[in-house]
Amino acid sequence: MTTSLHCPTKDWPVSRSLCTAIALDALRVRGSLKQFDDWLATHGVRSDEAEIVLAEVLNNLVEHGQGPAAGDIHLCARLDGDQLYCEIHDKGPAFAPPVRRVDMADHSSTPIDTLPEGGFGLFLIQSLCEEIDYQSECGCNRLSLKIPLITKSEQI
Amino acid sequence: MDLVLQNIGDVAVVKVPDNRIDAASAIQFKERFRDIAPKSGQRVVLDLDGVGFVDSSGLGAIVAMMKWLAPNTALELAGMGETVRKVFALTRMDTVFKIHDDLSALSD
Repeated sequence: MTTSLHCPTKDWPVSRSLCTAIALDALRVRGSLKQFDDWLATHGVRSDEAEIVLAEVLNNLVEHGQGPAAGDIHLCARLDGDQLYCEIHDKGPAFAPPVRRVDMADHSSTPIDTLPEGGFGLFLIQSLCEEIDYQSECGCNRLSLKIPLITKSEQI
Repeated sequence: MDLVLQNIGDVAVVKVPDNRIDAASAIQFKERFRDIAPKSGQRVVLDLDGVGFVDSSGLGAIVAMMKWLAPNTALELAGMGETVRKVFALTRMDTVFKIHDDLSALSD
């Protein structure tokens, strides 16, 4: 059985969907995030939340994946009202999905030399996604995210 | 990434000409910061004006530089944009740093 990556979202409406392949490299991820922001902008959307979540997910795959040999990451995104749905597929090692909600500790009284320098990424994903689903089958990881879009007017 | 050191009064201000501190640049950020920031006990402020995006790697690098300056110096931050402020607030790291709106507010 082949394990080629298929876009699971072929029945998504093309007009508000984006599917793209991303190389497993931090600089290329940076370029892809810019492309993603540009795509959102064409639909009148600007979302810090989406950029933060996707940066953390993609860079985690770069950091913990098997490098370019594992092939590209596939990202499909769909806008639906004030929700953004993302599917991220990769063929790297299976990973523990960021589904368990953990509260970030209050470090206002923590001695400086014991402050955490990591662990922020998964926390940011958990904080900003309304739904997270993960499946691993046939050597392929599939992460599904639902990210509520907060418009500028709501933030003010 | 070329950081720039500028002394404003008795405060050492480290400016970041890039608009991102992220997974692609965090290691370089730490190297450059260690090259130019004084550990002499002088106040050190990281000016994030113009930095539009900091991810978890960038945040970790900034925390690491605060730890590197300690105990003689506490790293202060200034000029955080909306997106950067959001990352600090969500991770509660905004309670760890002294944060100034901009460089004109350093005496606050």
